[in-house]
Amino acid sequence: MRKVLAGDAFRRYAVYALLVLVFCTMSVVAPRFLSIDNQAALLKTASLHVLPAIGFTLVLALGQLDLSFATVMTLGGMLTIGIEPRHGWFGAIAAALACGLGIGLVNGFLVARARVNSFIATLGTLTIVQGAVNIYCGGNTLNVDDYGVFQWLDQGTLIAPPVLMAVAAAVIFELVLQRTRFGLNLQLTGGNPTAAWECGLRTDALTIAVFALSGFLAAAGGSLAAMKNISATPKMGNESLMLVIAAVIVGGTSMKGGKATILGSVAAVLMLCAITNGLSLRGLGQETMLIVNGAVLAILVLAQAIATNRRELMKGRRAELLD
Amino acid sequence: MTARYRVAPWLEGAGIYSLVVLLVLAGAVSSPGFLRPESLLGTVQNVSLLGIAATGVAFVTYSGHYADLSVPAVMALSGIVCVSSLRWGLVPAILLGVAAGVAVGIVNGLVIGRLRANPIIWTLVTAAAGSGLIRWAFSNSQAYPSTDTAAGKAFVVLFGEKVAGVPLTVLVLAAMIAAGQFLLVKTKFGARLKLTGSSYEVARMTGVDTRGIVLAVFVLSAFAASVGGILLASLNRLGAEYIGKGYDFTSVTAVVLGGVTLAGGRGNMLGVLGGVLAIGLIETVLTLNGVSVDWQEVVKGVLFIVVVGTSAYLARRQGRDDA
Amino acid sequence: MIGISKRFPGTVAVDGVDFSVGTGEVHALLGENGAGKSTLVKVLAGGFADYGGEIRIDGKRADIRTPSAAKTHGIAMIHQELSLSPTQSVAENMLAGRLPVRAGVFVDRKAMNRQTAFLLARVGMDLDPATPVGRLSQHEAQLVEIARALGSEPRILIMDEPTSALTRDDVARLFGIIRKLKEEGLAVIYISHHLFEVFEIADRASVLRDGRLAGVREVAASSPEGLVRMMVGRDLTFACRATGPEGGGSPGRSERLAATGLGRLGFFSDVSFRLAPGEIVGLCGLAGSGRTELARSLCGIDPLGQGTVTLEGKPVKIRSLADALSHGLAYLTEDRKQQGLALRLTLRENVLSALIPGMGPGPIYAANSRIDVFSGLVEGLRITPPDPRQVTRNLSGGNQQKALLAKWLATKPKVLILDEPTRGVDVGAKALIHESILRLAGEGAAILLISSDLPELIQLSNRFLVMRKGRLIGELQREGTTEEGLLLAANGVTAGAR
Repeated sequence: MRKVLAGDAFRRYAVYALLVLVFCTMSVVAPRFLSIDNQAALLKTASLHVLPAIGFTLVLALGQLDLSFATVMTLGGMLTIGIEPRHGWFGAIAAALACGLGIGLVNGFLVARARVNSFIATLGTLTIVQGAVNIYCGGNTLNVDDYGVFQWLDQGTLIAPPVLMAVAAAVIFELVLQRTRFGLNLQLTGGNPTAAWECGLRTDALTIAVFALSGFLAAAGGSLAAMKNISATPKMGNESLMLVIAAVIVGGTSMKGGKATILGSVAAVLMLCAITNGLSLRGLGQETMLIVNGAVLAILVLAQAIATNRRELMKGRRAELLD
Repeated sequence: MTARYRVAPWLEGAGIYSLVVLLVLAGAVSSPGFLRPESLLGTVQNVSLLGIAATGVAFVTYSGHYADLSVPAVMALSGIVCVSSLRWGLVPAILLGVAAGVAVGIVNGLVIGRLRANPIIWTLVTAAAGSGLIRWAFSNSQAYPSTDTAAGKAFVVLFGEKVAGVPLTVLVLAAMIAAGQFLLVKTKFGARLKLTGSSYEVARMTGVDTRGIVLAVFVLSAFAASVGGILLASLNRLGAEYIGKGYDFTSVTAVVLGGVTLAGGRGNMLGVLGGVLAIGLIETVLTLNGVSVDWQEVVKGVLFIVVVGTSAYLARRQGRDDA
Repeated sequence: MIGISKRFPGTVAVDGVDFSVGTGEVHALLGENGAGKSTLVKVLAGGFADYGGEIRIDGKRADIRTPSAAKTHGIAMIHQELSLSPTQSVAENMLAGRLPVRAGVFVDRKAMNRQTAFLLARVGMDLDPATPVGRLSQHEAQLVEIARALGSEPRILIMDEPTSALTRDDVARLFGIIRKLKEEGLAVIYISHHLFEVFEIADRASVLRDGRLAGVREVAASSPEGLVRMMVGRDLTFACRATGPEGGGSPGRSERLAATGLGRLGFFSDVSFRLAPGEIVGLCGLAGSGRTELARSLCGIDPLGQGTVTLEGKPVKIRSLADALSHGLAYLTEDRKQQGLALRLTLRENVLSALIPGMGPGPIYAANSRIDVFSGLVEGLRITPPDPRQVTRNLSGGNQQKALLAKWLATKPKVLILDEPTRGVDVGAKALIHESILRLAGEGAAILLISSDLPELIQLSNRFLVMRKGRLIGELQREGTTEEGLLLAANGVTAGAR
């Protein structure tokens, strides 16, 4: 019997250890960090990035990239705010989600059927969507006056609706990913697409479905963010871009495709938001935080790369020769 | 089995020029004065900065490392460092600006070369870190060249300079394309680069210093971006953090349109020039026809996907499977 | 399969081939590389949507255009290149596409583990089903792949080079399983380069040549020479080292390379040996014995933990492959597709790729230089087509391997380490490669030959080194050493000690 080596376990749980570490550090560094008020705010902020992070995790598991998610978020937010006055919230949200789904389908089709590299395909769609957003809003911020929704979403409790939605989504999708045929087939396809095809898996349909989900979730995330702030700006999705990508990677999903973990991505999102939150409590200015953020991201991604590198070098070692 | 498939190098990259010709015709149709030398030069000047950045990114793509998404941050950094250093004279300021940019390139090259980090992710991280650095190190994240000093005065007109009637930026572009082409085709570095781009592993197993090659391409990319950034700052008469936004994706667009496939080892600088010209012509033709900037973005995105998708499809029909 | 044809851009892989296999029959499919065997079976396994001809199963027409369609007809395939997903566990790979569910939606992990354990036991393996496949050795992975194919209860089983990483025990067990399944009616299509396997297990044999059927024979009524003649279309004389180089291996002779106490933590330890000019030393061992790791460390690709290397008496420190090349030490990798040749480049670019430093003055690169070297090598090895602009991917396996050899011959090495130089190569190309190796030794190079092909080792080597589990456990002289002797030694049963 061969046991799963310690190295794997380390990689899988490293992010949770980091999360705990960050929380401890922040509570020491910033006195009010652990207060209910602050934690509620932190959780609400983090929850807005969770939905796109789930989408990105799924796409990365397939071995592909979806760089358009940030602009789709913006589009989702814009449509939600823009359509609400005339068609109410439900109509607006439905429209936003439908658009996100549609863009995702286009991405999926380009990658699966036209066999365009996903980096290129999503690069193209992101340009198109950003242009569309700018046309729609004329470069302006859109607002609505419905404070009811805002108040409902922005409750001061720890389990405000956005947080609940994020947690629910994360749990549901993690179950789907690890416990259903769809999820396992997805990871298998990411690990070795040719093998998956030869096993009879419908890899094209899988790819299209995953990209569609990513678009849908990105739009949902943007929509949620817009409703919470009851406004939408033309670049609102861009803040999520780096955070989501870094979080998904640090969370343990492999960049080559295959093994993926949504809970890990969510933990990493929370961790990164906690860092920003703690530092701003400490009174660090906007500029300082940006560079700290950048530095933290750099260190995390670097650490991941080093770890992966060392693992490659150590592949194939014989235990009996390790004197 | 008699398999014959010849490679016709002169054909690579030439495909984009058919699009260029089409666009020139479209332009001539749209406006009577389009074909005048001043007007054509103006079009080229509009995209000269994009072209300069694209020359650098082309090296990265050619090496099989997809793209350098830190280009906007490098442009901004070199611009702002240059502007802030004008008190020491124009030439020293330019050199400092370039040095700052190249420093980022060195970091990129080392991390991606030695740790084999994913280039897209890592350059996104350096971009974020770079932006943060600029915002933190320079108050207001902007710097204005003082027009009292001689250096300052020289700087602000730098962009508009003409040499024998040809805009300086166009000359710089031409020089960089020529130098880049020479490097690719006529030097041993270029031959090694081609091997590395075609297969990193094989290059490594042939004794090529792949880590050195990776370092070189990212330094080249940062160098080109720095030059572009300084000229861009001159155009805008200020150094700022947001200068250069959008150049990451558009330069990849130009590079890929120009026939340098993402798989690496294929294409050349003349093709990249074609890609750059195509983008410039699209913008001009659309502007002549009264299309708004946002709609132009949409058109560019659509065209990009169409062109890349079709060429990938055709390549696969012929039995090639890159990009 | 009737009149099957399949074209690819620029070539016809299979041209009007008829092939049939009966219930309970093992039918071998033979042919040189590029003859079309893999393509033919891939058609049956649903790998192509478009091809000419017709497939009939049990007399009825079967339209098989996707892998799922093939599965519905009970066709399973074991691939030449492993088709497992490295990040997924053994269980997930084993039951891919057939995951057991509970309550209609959720995957039943207990059932998965149970089924996996059962299937593994069948091929004699005992693994934790949760092990990621990427952590398995080649040998274990191949067994997993076989277990998976068997697990789908196929009616027609296609096996494409299923034994490349297996031990003799594994092969014996596998053949036992096949024989039992034959009795239950399983039809097997067996592709292998190892003729002795064919003679052991197959009932009939079809030979393909250049995409066409050259003939079908009852195995019992054929001879290896006869089959080879059908595959190649001519008689082959095998190059052989009839006599060793003068005084090869004896002490006191000038050495080309001496290695003392080489070790790399976790990979190999305490390896010492010498190579004399003109000598071919065969390094044998089972899969995973550390031979490739030794070669890589020797050539600077991987770091060397301990030990010294001297070349022609002078100690050298080789820290990179470029260092090694500058000292005249070259290494032909065992993986020609991903480490040996850049398949997207042209033949000339590949063959001359190790010569770039010398092709032009200073930093300038003269693309057209050394064309004479290229032509000489291509002719000498009879690489076809000899077109320098040929895209390397489109060459047959045998020609690709020749190109890889040419690449290293071009560097005029003083010491050449060959790692599986004729793996997956047809008989004709193999003979030419052997000729080249002998010629190189005759010109004074010292050669270290790593190979799992025992007849090849016996044919070419002056003496043998045996590695097992990262250590050098024996050295055997040419006289008196047989294939069995080498195999026993590799398994740790030493007859000839140091």
